[in-house]
Amino acid sequence: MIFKAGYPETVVDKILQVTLQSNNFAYFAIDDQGQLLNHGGELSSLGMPAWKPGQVILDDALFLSGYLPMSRDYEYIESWETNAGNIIDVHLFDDQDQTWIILVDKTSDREWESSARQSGNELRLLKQRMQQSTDFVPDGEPHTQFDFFESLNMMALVANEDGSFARLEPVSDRFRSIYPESTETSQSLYPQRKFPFVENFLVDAREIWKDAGNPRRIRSGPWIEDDRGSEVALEAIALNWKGNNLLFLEVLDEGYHLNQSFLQIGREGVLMNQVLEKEVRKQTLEIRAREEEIALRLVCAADSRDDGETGSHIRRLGLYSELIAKHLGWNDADAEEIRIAAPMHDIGKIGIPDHILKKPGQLTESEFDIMKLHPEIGARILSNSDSPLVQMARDICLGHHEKWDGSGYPYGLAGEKIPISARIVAIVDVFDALIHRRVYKDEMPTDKAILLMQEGRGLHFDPELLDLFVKLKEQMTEIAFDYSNPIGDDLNEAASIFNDIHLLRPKV
Amino acid sequence: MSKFKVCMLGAFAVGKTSLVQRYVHSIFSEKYQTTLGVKIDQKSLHLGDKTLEMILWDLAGEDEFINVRDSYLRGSSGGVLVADGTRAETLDIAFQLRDRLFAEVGQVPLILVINKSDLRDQWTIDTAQFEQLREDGWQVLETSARDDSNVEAAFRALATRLLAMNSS
Repeated sequence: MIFKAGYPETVVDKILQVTLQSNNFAYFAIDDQGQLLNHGGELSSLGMPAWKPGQVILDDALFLSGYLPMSRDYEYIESWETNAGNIIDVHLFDDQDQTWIILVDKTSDREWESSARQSGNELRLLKQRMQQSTDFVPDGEPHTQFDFFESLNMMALVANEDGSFARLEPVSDRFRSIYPESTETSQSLYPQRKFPFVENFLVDAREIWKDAGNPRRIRSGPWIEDDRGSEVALEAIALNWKGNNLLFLEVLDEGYHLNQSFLQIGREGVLMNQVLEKEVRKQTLEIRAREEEIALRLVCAADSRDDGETGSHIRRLGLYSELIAKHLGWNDADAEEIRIAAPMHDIGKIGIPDHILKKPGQLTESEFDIMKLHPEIGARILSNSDSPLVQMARDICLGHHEKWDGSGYPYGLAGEKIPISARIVAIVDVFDALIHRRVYKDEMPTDKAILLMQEGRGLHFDPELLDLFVKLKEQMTEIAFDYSNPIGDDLNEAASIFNDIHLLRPKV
Repeated sequence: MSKFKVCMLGAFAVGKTSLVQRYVHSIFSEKYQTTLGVKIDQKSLHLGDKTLEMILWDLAGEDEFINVRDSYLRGSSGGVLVADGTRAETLDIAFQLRDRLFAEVGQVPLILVINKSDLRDQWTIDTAQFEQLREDGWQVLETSARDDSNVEAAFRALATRLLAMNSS
């Protein structure tokens, strides 16, 4: 055993320092002349100078001006800025013949102030006990002259060579119930058998103890034990002090519950955010689905004047385009936009007269010139919108008859000057038209259609996009098959209503 | 009697503590109470003619506030990976913790538990991937600590694997 009768003052100082540092406190004690008696914790980390006992420090600690000598037991100075620019809170405790001062950093709040106040009081009590205890009372227990560790809710143990531990203090009431076995002996305790958590921690502790010159201490982090039906949080601390392997078991109490409260609040906030985000995502999807439905119904109604176009055709066009976009690495939102925008590619046909649009035979040159206006008409309909979706639809309207070699219309754009969305739709529009029957032509087998389209590689179509399209042939065919029938009675209904209205219109 | 250290691993609020409480103490609390630190419980169970004791380490959930200390995983014989069916992202966190467990103790028996099956209508997790996981040899169970659904089965499934590992 190392401590047979009370702790040397240096031990007390060491333990105090460990405790103070772990709680981000520092303290110093001065007499009524401003002379430093003692200090602990990391004063320098709080921006205080490196004082030495006996030094008069009032000139460095201007925040004490007017407070000393103290007229009350306790004073509190909030948010003082030190010369080093640190913001500190200061707690002053009058200890009759000297003054204890506790410093707390600016991250404090009301709970921390309370904690600081409590720590200050504990230190005062501790010091009073130190002064009051002058006699060692042998009682068969290793015993200090004050209940130091009890006041800190700690049990102090020193490691024996055989793996057991010797207790350095009488068992406090707190540990009597948490660790009843510790009352049976003070010499050969095995906290690792009682607490599996400690057994695990001792692996790390032994690493620290191996190196006698290593002043480092390690903390286990909190663990929870049952104490007469309620939970109590503990933490183990291991350190090596002058060759002695010390293990402290600490009841965390307020500090733990405070941290747990913060964590609870933080996590509940995160959970709430997740719920809200999920709800926003869900509602966005619903809105997007409604937008898509409205767009499809209107486009279908407009296109219904053109006997070649059907509701299923415009749906397929969107799906083909989305498939290509995804394989180009577009994000989900952009791929979704082209699915909705692509069906609007021919919306400009609404401005083409019936006798041209519905003409069963070949168009004359002048008729074709009028027909070629539909991309610009569509673009005008969709212009001046802030919506990225509508802007993309406009690009598609305007560019889906442009050709890679510049021979298309309306502007004869070439290559990448044609927006990519329009280049995609140019491919899938031709593909879908080829493989489906129209009143003026039979359907073409898929392979034959693709062979035909490949003749336009680098002429009509963007070569790289066409290659990708060919790679996706099977999935394209699946879409074509899945949506091969005039699906969506709802859409066709919308189209027929539009037609009825249109037929009632007087012919000019 | 064989003793096995088993870690409960998963993101925060997936129900690790609730599963342990349900399994060990047959209780369930509706209130979410975050775990800070480690809570250790023990449970003995009989499998055929064998008895084993599981030392269940209920670790604080992993998130931006708290990291599971690797030292807590030391000496683990197995683990219960817990994900929340209503929060798909918790499955990724469970797998990240699996990797850390394997790095610490090697390949030990695990089961994957998708908790909160009582809220199945709110699940965002893609259950189709369970089939792939099962094909890869994972034991995947859908549990509810609230309804006490599959909780015992999950721990017994792990116990069976632990015993099999122990005897091999």
